[in-house]
Parts: sequence; structure tokens; C-alpha cells
Amino acid sequence: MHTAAPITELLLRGRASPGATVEGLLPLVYAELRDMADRQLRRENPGHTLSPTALVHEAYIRLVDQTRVQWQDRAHFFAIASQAMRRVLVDHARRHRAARRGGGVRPLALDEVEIPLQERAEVLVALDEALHRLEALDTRLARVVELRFFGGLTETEAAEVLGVAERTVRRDWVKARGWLLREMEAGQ
Amino acid sequence: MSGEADAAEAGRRARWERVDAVLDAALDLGAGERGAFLDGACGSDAALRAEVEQLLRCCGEADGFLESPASGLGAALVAAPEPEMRIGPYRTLGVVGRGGMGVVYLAERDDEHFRMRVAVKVLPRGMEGGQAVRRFLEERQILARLQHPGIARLLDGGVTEDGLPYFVMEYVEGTRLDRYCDARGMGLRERLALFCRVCEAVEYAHRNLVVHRDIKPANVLVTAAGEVKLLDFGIARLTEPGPGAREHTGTGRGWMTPEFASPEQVRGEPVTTESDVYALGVVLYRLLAGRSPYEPTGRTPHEVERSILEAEPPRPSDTVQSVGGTEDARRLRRRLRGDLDAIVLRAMRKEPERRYPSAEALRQDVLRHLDGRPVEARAGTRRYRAGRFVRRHRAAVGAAAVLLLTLLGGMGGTLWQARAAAREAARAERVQAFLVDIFDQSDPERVNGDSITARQLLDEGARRIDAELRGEPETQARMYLLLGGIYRRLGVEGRAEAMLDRALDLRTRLHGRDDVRTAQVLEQQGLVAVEQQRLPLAERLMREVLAIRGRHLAPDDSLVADGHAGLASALYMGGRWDDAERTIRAALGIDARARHGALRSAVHLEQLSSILRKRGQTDSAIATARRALALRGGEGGPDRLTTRTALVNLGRIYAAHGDFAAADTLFRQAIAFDRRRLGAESRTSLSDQGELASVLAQQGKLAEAERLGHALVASSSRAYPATHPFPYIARGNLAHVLASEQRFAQAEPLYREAYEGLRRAYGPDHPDAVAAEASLAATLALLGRMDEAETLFGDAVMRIRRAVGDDNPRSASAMLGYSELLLKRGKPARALPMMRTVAQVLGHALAPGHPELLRAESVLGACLSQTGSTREGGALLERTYRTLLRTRGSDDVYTDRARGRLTDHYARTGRRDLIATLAPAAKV
Repeated sequence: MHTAAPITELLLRGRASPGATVEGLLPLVYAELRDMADRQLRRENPGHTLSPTALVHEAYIRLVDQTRVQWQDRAHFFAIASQAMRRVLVDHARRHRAARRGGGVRPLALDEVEIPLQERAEVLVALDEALHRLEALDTRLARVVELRFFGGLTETEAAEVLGVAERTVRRDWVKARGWLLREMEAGQ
Repeated sequence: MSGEADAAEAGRRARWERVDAVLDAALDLGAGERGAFLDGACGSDAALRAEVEQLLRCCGEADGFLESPASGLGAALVAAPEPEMRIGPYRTLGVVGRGGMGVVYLAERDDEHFRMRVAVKVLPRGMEGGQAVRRFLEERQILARLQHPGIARLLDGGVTEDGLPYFVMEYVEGTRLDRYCDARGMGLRERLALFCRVCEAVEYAHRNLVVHRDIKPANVLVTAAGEVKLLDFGIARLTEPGPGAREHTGTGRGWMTPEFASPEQVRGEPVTTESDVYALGVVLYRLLAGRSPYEPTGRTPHEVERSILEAEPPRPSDTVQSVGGTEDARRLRRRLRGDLDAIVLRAMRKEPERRYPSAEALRQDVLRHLDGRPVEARAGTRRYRAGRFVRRHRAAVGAAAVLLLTLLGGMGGTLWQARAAAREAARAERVQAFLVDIFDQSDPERVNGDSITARQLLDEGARRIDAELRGEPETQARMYLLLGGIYRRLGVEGRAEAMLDRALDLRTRLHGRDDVRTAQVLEQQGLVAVEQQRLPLAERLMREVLAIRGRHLAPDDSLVADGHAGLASALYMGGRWDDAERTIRAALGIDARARHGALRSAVHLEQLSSILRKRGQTDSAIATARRALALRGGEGGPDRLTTRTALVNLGRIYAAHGDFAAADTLFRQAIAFDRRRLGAESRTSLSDQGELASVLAQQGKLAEAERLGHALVASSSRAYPATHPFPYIARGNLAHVLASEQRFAQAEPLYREAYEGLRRAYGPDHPDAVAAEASLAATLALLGRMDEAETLFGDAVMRIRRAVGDDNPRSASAMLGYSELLLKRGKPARALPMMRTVAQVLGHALAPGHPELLRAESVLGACLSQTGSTREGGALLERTYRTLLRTRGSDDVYTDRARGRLTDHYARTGRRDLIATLAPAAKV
């Protein structure tokens, strides 16, 4: 069977072939998240705040028929949704980044409200690229960042998704952030 | 990636593992203890130590870093207006829309010579894999060929610098269809007229094998000038991940807005033109009722999806809201009730095959309503429920039905022969007109104005040949030949034979036997023999004709081509399709070299198409028929078709495409034509009525099919001698209708008569006789008469395999039915080798998830499981059952049978504990 079936269907099928499921689900979840983000920011929430935690959880409730899935499917969905969220944000960032400035970018103080759009975009794209490099080195570290930072999952949830102890997630999170910080500073 | 890069990457990973191990351990220690630990852990590896120290420092500093989720950073970016961008040669001017499949920009192409405004759609990240881009580029070309005033043209496409596919479309300034109607306070008729324009555009694309798959009001714009434009044709498909690029109907929901998705799209099943018909139904619903059948407000997408799968949509007249002003709701409700309710609901049926077969058929029904004629949709309503019941129990009918469909094709033989005979139809009609003129003038008393029949004219003409042409033997011969041919066309075979005998006698005396003029008479006699099913005689005559022409004419002479065609028809009727195909291709070869005219080629192509159909090569058959039709002057629609031949031919093409409603209309026109010209009980008319009966059965109009079937059995028995196959084909077809209604006891004697009659008429190895035999066997099995069924089925399977080979869907169907019977009778070892073949043949012929293939695989699994290959068989049984359960649901008959086989497997292998894990309906 081909992939682009509805989300619940795909999740159920995913128990047999996880790879195909990601391929089928990711675009669907991406579109949904992007639209949800759009709606929240443009219409319902003029204050420009966006909670990825709420987004990913809300997407789960909207998209998945909960009577038919089990906790593994839920974890699987969160993993994909975090990945999709990363793409949503990075895509926006790429479009806003008019031109690639040679060197790296200022990595700190990501939450400062006054950061100009341009710089936010640069930071996100640089982070995405660094994360790609980390992925090649140590997939689980990169996954933790995706789940925690982009997906907004708690340590407990991330541990459930990855099937590891919470303690491991906590340690991975420390190491990953250290690694990324060094990487982004080095590029500066 | 090159080997070198791989090695470098592996090196980096190995290095990281070492760093990571040391880093991990160091993080467990307090800051004061780390120095001493690193001394020991890194030893003399200064680089390692430096890196770990650097990372330790960064880990310490990273406390605030990434601490709050991406929100703060992302929100402003999402909310900010889109910046100006360059995409290929286009400069964006702003965002005009955001859909599931990306952002749409208004853009301008800056060129020295002109400025053009276009819409540029950029697909989102996640779709950029190499395969998706390649497919996108491939299909871009197909889409660019769609040129219709109702379709926004695809102008260009490419890949952005970031590697994202984009495409450029005609920029349409317009208003969404529904808002346009509401804003102008349009009444029903105006809305329906606009909707018909939408259908026209969709039909055009379907004819070009492009499915839209995301039709919704947002994709239908109406310009200020009132023109309808469909956006995004075929584009939803480009955005789907996964394989399947070469099929024209891919699978899946893609970005489909749930509200407008058809049940098959929700289930992730193949998307076809019927899915678009469904979406058109939803659009029409919305235009008429002012709201959607599955209103998404306050519901999550998966709730909407569930309703689409399970809930019957309410009638538009029950949900109607005031649509934009002028129409008062109560009056509107009254006007929707009946026709329009029925039209909308027919388009939206859950089963694709129960919808309108095409956008055009939907449009025609809307036009019927507008004209105040009775609509198709209501004719089918009552039968629809009965039909649903039958379909739910389809597998019970299964074995019989699969074979019967091929028997239905048997009727085509007779029809085809009529068409082959009508090769000179146009000429013959001119002659007929000429004769009318002559007789009219010479003997006004005898003819009675309009009521004169061809038959009267001929009888009169025959009389006058004898009386007035004495002493002019060649003219007499010519007239006898001419009249013989016309009698033959009218199916008055006795008279035809007499006339042709006289002509042959005269010409043999005048010119000798080995003469092209004599051969013309022999050819007519051969065609009569074909019609009388005296096939050895027909073949002998046709071969003689060909030999005479071969000796006296140039190799590429049109008469040589006709000789091949005549021989082909004799071979075809005898079921010798290989030989028939080779022979008709010889005729076509001559046509191609010598250019004897389009009409002749068309006739020969039609013959080839019939042969290909019989050989199971449906696609080629359809393509060939279409070429023939193009040569006949294109399919300009039924209005331009004047001759019965063309009507019937077009009808058969529609039927082969599954457009039964269109075929229905055409066959009825042909029958009306027959009645006027030839009389209702002429053989030509009977043949056409037979076609109509098949089409009725395939539309699920079983009551009507049954009525017509009974009438045909009676009239064909009167019109044909007992040695002719037609009356038996009529019986077989009627039996099929009865079997579809599960009236097996009534079907059985008819099948038996059909089988015995066809066996006598054709011989036991003729494919139609064998199909009747297998159908009878399947029916007997359903009636529980197992011994008889097994013997007959075995015989039928043996004959059909011998006739068409194993690698043919007809053989596969027969073997599958037979194997199920053998399995039921505890003879798995005999079924196993057949089932291996069947699974292989069907595996090539059908898509992976096709229920018929799954059925075959499940039967194969049962055979394996019962012949010692328990593990292999069990795995196959489990896989097929799970797939059916997922794709067709627990109550489906295919699923139920697969479950039965799996249950049986568990029981026999001592795994009774697993039976409980199957769905509750499991039976042991």
C-alpha cells in the first residue's frame, strides 16, 4: 500500500514499517502544524506568542483517533510532530533570511523580544544546520533537542518517545546543548 | 556518498564516541575532581583533553540556551509578513494563499519585453526528496498540456535555490465559486449552470487522464467576466510522497481537505476520476444547500473523516439554509427535494462504482433536471439499496460473477459480427435509398409512404430481377449479390442464401470460379456462414476468397485487406483469437501501407479491438477502439453520431471504461434506431438489446436487466434456429442477473441450458461454452451440489487453460473458483499448484491491495497450511487477513472468508488460543 493515508491509518501501519510511516505522516503533520501556527498567530493571538507544546499536543488530539491507538503510536506521533515543527519554523526562517552572511551568528539570548526578525531567522537556520551535523554524529542527542526544543516535550515525554530513562534524556540534553553552543560559537 | 566521505564520517563518529565517554564520566564529577580525572582518562591525547574541556565549559554555559522552547523565536517569524523573494525568474509581490501544500505567491516576471503576473506555488520542505522532484518534473509536462478555458494553465515549474519544487500558474483574479454565488444572490438555475462549467473542465482533464483530487470551492474561481477557472489541476498528486509515478491514478489523500475527501481517499485507497466526481458532488451540495454535508465546524479532522466513511450525508433539502438572499428557504427546500437531492447523493455515494461514472454524466443529469426531463439519479435510487446488499455479499456470488462477466462478453461476438457485416453499411444505405427512389417511381401503388420497410423493397426488387433483367446475366448477378448482402444485413438469412446462390451460379458461368467477381459472392456467402455459426464452412470460403484475390490483385489491394478481415471474423467467432489477431493485423498492415481510407481502417481496428478484448487485453482493446473512433470522425458526442454502428461502438467503449450510464443511453438510441429501420425483433436489435441488458446488470439495475433478459430469451428463441448460440448467450446472461440477486436455484437451469446450447453450437472448447460451464459449476457449488460442481469445474478449468493458457485472467478466475471448491472439499493438494499459478498471474495483473488478489493469496495460504507448509501458509493467511481487516473492515465478505481460513488454520495447528484474538465474528 501506498503511504499518504490519513494520520491514524498511517500510525497503525507504522507498527509494521516505521520508515514508510514517517515519509507519509511528516508532510501531513507539517501542513497541519503550519496551519495551526498560522491561525494562532494571525487571527486568534495577536500577541504573537506561540506554544509549540500546545501545538503538538493539540495536533495529536485533532488528528489522531485516540480510540484506535496505543501509547507507542502516541510516542511515534510526537516524534514526527516535533520533526515537523522544526521544519515549520526553519522554513519560515529560511524565507526571512535574505542572504547568507558568511560567518556564524550570535547564539545566546534566544528569547529576547527585541531580536530583529533577520537575526532570529539566522539563528534558527544556523541551529538547524548544526543540528544536522549533530545528527550525523549522535542521532539520539539530536532527537532530544528536536523533542525538547522544537516539540516542546517534557523530559518525561521525551524519555517515553525515545524509550530511554528520564535520567538519560536529562544528561543528553546537557551534552547536546553544550555541543551545539560550541558549534555555533565556533561558526561566529 | 563516496567511500572516502563515508570513511571520514565513520572516523568522526568513532572520535565522538571516545569524547562522549570521557565527557559523560567528567559530568558525573564535581568541578574540582575533573582535572585529575582527565589526566588519567586522556593520558597523552592532548586534543581529546582539549575538546572535552571545551565541551565541559560549554555545557556549563549552556544553561539558558534552548531552555524555553522554539516558541519565542518562531512566533515572530510565523506572524511576520512574507518577505519579497526571487523564485527562478519571478519576483514575489505578496502571499495570495496558504494551503496544505505550500504557500502561493503573486509574482511577476521581469522581462525586458513584458511584465506578466503569475501565481507561484512553492511546495513545503519535506517534499524535496529526489524522487518527488523527478516526479514533479515529469508530471509538470503532462499538466502543462491541459489547455482548457476552465482550467488555470500551468506555465512553468522548477526547483528553488533551496531545492524546493515550485510551479507557476496562470494568475486568476476571481472569487471562490460559493462566495461568488452568494455575493450575487444567484438563484438555483444560475448556480447549476456555473456548476456545469466546472464539470466540463473536470471532464476535459479526465479525458486527458489527469485527476484533480482536491476539488473544493477554494480551487474554483469565478472571474469578473463570469468565467469559471479550476486551479491546481493534478497538483495534489505531485505533493504526495512515495512511489507510483507512472500510474495515472495514484493513491492517497495527500493534502486533501477532509471535508471534500471521498471515502476512498480517507481510507488511503487509489484515487480515480470517481473521487473527483465525489468532490464535485460535495461542491454541488454546498452550492445548493449553503453548507457542507460533513460540516467541519467544531469537529476534529478525524471526526470528519469518520463521518465520511460511515455516515450517510443528509439530503441537501433537509439541511438547506438560505443561500444568499433572494431564495426563500422553504421554497428552496421544495425545489431541492427530489431530483437535486438525488443528483447530489448519487455523486457522493460511498462506493465509487455507484456514483456517476464521469463528470460528464453528472453534468448531463443536471442538464436533464434543468430541461425538466427525468434524471438518471432517481431511476437508480430504489435499486441502490438492493445493490448495496448484493455487494455486501459479493463474495458469495463471487466465483459465479467473475466468470459470468466474461460470458457477458459473448454477446459481443454476435454484435461484432453485425458490425463486420456492416462494413459496407454506408454504401448499402445509399443503395437502399436509391432503391426506394426507383420503386417509388416505378410502382407508386405498392409502396405506402413512410411505412415502407426495407424488407418490402427487397422482396419487390427480387421479384423484378427475375421478371425484368432476363438476358442480362451480369446485371442480374450484381443485383442478386446486392440484395443478398442486404438480406444478410437484415438477418433474413434464408433469402440471403437464395440470392447469393443465384449470383454465384451466374458469375461462375460467366467468369469461372477463380475470378475476383466470383470471389465477391463467395465473400458474402462466407459472411452468412459466419452469422449462421457454420464456422468451418465460413473459414473455407474466406480462405478461398483470399486465395483468389491474392492471385489476381496487387498485394496491397483493398480487397485483399477485406479478405483478411473476413477470414479474421470467421476465426474470431470460432474462438481462435491468436489466429484471428494475426489475420486482422495483416489487413491493418495493408491499410497502413496503401491508405485505402480511414473508414476501412476503422472497421479493421474495431475488429482488432474486439479480439483484444476477448484475449483479456482490455487496455489495448480500448486504445484500439479509440483509434478507430478517431478515424470515424472523433467522438463528438452522441448528437453527431448517426449510424447505429457508431452508436453501438461508442457504447461499448463507454461500457469498457465503466461508464455504464453513458453506454446505456447509447444502446437505447441504437435500439430505437433498429426499431425504426429493421423492426424490434430483428437480430441486430436483439444483439443491441443484449448489450443493453449487460450494461443494466453492471449498473446494478437488476430488475430491469431481468425483465429485458427474459424478453431476450423468448425473442431470440423465435428469431434464431436452435443451433445458433445467441439464444443460449441470452440465457447465460439472464442467469447471471439472477445469480447477482442470489437466486441460484433459478439461475441453475438457465446456466445449464446455456452451457449445453453453447457446447452444441460452438463445440466444448469454445471459451464462451467453457465460461458457461464454469458458471454452472460455481452455481452448483453454491447450491451445495458438490460432486456435480467439482466434476464440471474440473473440466472447465482444464479446457479454459488449454484454450487461453495459464497466464490469463480468465484462467486465473476459473482456477481460483475451482481451488476454493477443492479446499472446501478437503483436497488442498490438488488446489495448491493451481493456486501458485493464480497468485502469480493475479499478482502481475492487479495492484497489491486488490481484494481479489488478497482472496487468492489467502486461499493459497490455506492450501499451503493444509499440505505441510504450516508456517509459510500461516504467515500468508495472517498477512492477508490483517490487510483485508484494515482496508475493508471486519464485516466485509472477503475479510470474513479470510478470517474463516485463518481460524481454521489456528484450529488445526493447535493454536485455539489465538482464535480469540481474531475479531468477534470469527467462526470455527
